[in-house]
Amino acid sequence: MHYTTSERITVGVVYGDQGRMRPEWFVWEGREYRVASINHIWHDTAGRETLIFFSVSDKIDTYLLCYHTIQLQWTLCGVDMEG
Amino acid sequence: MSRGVHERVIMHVDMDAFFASVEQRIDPALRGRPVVVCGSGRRTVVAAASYEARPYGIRSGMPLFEAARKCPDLLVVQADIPKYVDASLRVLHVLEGFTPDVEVYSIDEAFLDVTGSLALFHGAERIARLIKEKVKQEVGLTCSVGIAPNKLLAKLASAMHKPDGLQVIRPEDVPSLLEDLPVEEQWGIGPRLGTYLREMGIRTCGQLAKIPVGILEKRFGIMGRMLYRMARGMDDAPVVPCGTGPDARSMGHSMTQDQDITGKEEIAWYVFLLAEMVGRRLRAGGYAGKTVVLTLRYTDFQTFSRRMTLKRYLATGPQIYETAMRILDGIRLKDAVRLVGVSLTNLVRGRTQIPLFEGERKGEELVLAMDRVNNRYGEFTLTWGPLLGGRKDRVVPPSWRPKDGDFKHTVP
Repeated sequence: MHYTTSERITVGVVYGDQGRMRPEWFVWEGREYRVASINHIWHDTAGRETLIFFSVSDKIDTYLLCYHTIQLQWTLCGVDMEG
Repeated sequence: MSRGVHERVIMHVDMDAFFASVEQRIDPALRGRPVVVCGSGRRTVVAAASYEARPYGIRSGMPLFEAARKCPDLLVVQADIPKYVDASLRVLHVLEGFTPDVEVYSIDEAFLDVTGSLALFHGAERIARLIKEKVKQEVGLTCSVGIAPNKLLAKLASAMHKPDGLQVIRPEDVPSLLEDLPVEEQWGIGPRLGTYLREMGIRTCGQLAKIPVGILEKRFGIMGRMLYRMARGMDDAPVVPCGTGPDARSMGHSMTQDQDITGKEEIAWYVFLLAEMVGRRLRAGGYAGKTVVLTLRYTDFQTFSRRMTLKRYLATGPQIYETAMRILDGIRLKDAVRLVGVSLTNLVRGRTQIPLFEGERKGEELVLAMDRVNNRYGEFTLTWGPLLGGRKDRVVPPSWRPKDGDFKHTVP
């Protein structure tokens, strides 16, 4: 099932190798989700703001997280749930 | 790969099922399943098919309804160009680590002249292996690489073992390789030319190579000499690195409608939208043009273009729209329309000409002010009134919408 949203969320990030950012966990609707894998990262722009998208999975579902580089905010943009 | 003193070593890097592979990378649920990437309309065509979809006979360019009929379990993903541009730029970054002579041929293909890098990286095949490894590691995608003495043969080589292939064509292999190669498989010989050649009894490059150049020139004009050279695997075209190629010759946009449109008033709305998109691109690249081309396609796929050349250069949506409408006014529509396209040719770059009349000057200033707002806040944040009204399904194409909640794949 695919679910599209645009909700502000809290994300725990580690700045790892070569200063690359890696989301480790996020909190959505009061529940904490651990990121098991990062599937893909890409950039886009909205006007002058660069958006960095992270497709991540916990062990079951896939989530699309977006980092807004000017607003310094994270949003959850989409969820792909099993079943 | 051993080579003569003046021999070049050219590489063609071709991403495997690029758009579909990016989508499969982003969404693990799509992996191992038949996936197509297509446009946003209901009457769109397949832009890319995953390797799992291909055994069903699904190919790029096929109407989506036909693809869905061939494979009922087909997963359909709406194309999201920024994702692919981002992946493409990251691949380009990898390629530029091996040679500065990288020609971006398309979003998912590039030519490299690695002649000067062979000693540094210990041979062409090693460069190809390193490229494949780094692209996989950095972007998570596979590519196929062809190595040959020229672009024509490198392109042929990369297609020989897809996906994830690596093929070398050595100069001494060329005659035997081309002998039985169907003419249509040679880069530059399309289906129409292939049919023409078949009518002459020529099915393979070997057969084509036996035709004297004079006969080919007589039959095909300037193309005859090119065919003669293609049949022998000859190609002197250089690899043209990014930023050193010629300026754009035309810029345009087209849209296939979800429903056929009949009235000129409705067509005019799309012409305005497309003119505005073309104007934005022109100004972003510092271009202006003086020939406006309007393209229409009827429901029976009959497609035609009409053009009008002005004495002055245009670079704004309303100017392009006005000229396109003059063209449209001169057309007697015979049927409903399914595609509208607007483009500009006769382009110049870096033109600065201050309009003589105050009204025109104010108009240009307004457009530049709108550009500043849209550059800052996203496309169509500020636009022309007529583009806001109309039918609910008459929407701005996805790639031009401000990004918000941008996870738009659909599974029917």
